[in-house]
Amino acid sequence: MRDVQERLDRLVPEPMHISDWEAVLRDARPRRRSLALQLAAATTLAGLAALFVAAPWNGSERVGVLERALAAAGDGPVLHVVFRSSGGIVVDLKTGERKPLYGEREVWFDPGRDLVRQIYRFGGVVEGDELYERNKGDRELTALWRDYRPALEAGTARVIGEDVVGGVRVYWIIVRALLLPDVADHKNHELAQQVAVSRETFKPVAMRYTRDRHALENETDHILRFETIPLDEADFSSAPGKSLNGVAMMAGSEPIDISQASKVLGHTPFWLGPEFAGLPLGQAQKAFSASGRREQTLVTGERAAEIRRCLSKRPARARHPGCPAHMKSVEIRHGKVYESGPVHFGPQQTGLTLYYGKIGDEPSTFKKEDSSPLYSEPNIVLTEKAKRDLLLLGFGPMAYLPPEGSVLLLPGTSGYLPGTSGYLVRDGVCISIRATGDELVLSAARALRPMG
Amino acid sequence: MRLSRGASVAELERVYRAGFPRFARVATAVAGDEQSGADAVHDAFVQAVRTRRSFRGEGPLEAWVWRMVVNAAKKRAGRRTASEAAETPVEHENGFGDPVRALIAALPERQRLALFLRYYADLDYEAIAAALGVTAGTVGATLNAAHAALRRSLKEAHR
Repeated sequence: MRDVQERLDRLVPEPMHISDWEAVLRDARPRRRSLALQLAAATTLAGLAALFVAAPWNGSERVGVLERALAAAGDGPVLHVVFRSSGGIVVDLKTGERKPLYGEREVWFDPGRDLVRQIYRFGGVVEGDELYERNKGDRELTALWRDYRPALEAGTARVIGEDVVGGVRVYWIIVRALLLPDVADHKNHELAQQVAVSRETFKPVAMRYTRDRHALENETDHILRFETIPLDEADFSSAPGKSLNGVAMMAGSEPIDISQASKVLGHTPFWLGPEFAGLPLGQAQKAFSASGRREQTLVTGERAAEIRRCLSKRPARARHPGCPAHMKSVEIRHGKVYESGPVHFGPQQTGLTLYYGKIGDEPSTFKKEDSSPLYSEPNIVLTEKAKRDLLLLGFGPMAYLPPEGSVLLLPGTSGYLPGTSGYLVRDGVCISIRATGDELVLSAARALRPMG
Repeated sequence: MRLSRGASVAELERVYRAGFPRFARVATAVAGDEQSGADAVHDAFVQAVRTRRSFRGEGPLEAWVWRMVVNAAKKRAGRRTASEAAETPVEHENGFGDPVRALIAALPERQRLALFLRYYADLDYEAIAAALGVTAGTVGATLNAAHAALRRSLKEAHR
């Protein structure tokens, strides 16, 4: 039978059509009667009619949702959206009062020029400002521009339910859905892109990706503002100094004797004493880092044209005569071709790291040693320096500083180390504390005192 | 007088969501093209929702729906006129016309449908029997006859 099976498989491959249960329900609704009959029914059975129309189909209400969502989407040529990004909690060390604090990503997208400007803020402070040509990674822009409005216009979008998102009552709308096979279970699964619109304004307030109608973890993007605006109202004037384009960093650390701590830092350090919460001061380290920018040269003329031709020939470009040997050193931004050169680092920054916890042989390191901090055991890592620094103080916001007397708690953001990171400013010194939980970070922040 | 068990919209939705790719593939095979196949599945489920109260519960709900899908696909296939079919070029990835398509088209309808339900929907004999309104024994005999006819024709085609 195998030969028959194989031939049949080739004959009719698995269709790529998308299932659409809502369309089935819509078409299965009783057909509308003539106007005269409807009027007669309306006058005699008004109350009952309302009951029957409302359940179980309530489709007309949902069609109204899609129409209003389309109207609320506007028809301006530029998309302007503000997304809420991940954040943390600011804790007052005296009162224990906690306030959530979020990041924001404001985006202007001009599809006519494929141009994107993004400003990142944390706590209202600008952390980054980028101007670039849209790339495939901007899936939210793809979803909100390429898919959302056209799906509403074409009538392929459908309302699938009501919900409350971030305190706002919403309708969830499926914008795009695909049935795709999963090699794990050899079954087809519905992967869908959904947008939640406010039940009051009908503007998008969230978007997410679902598999078989279940939201993927941490995949809901909250939308604080959504509008389509005229070109002259859009802001495509970026601040190049805030751009992360070409930014490069280096960092390292070396163990020092605790007696050298003040000398390394340039002032009396804060510490938690020789032991804290049952964890001994295991190691002091001199931490250093430097940031710089990669040299980038604007390429014009025939050379630029050649590079564009090379990029369009991927992946065979490397064999193409005239192509740069390392195409990774070439990029096109804002329609212009740039070639990257060496990185120029600024002056080295130094800080102090105090490790509280066990010291021993770290099995993941290449060499057997007996003086490595054992990060897999309970520990607290305290790092301090005079200026906020990405690599010395962890991966929290760069420009935002919490008010003195408070700590910004960010879960799981200290690079590869699990736990909670806390950021604070004490007497003008920037301090980060990473520990295995919020309470340990907070108790350490309260226990900080000058070494002496 | 028998009372109908009826089927709920939720039960039909479960059958639809779980089986859509198989329904669509069989319907495509019967109707002749992917769009007609998808339309046939849609038509069948619209009919199933409308007439769900008439489901008697004498067999599985899925078999009841399969019958509707097959009938809807046959109806869609009937809309394709003989002239349209003749004008449609038969292309195959190896560059030659696919003889299997013609051989299957030449099979009696019941054999063709049994083959599609067996191989595209992976239904057992009981389920195929329920979908086609015949006995399981008839399905076995029908499939045997279809296999024999196909093998014979393929051998002849390769001579």
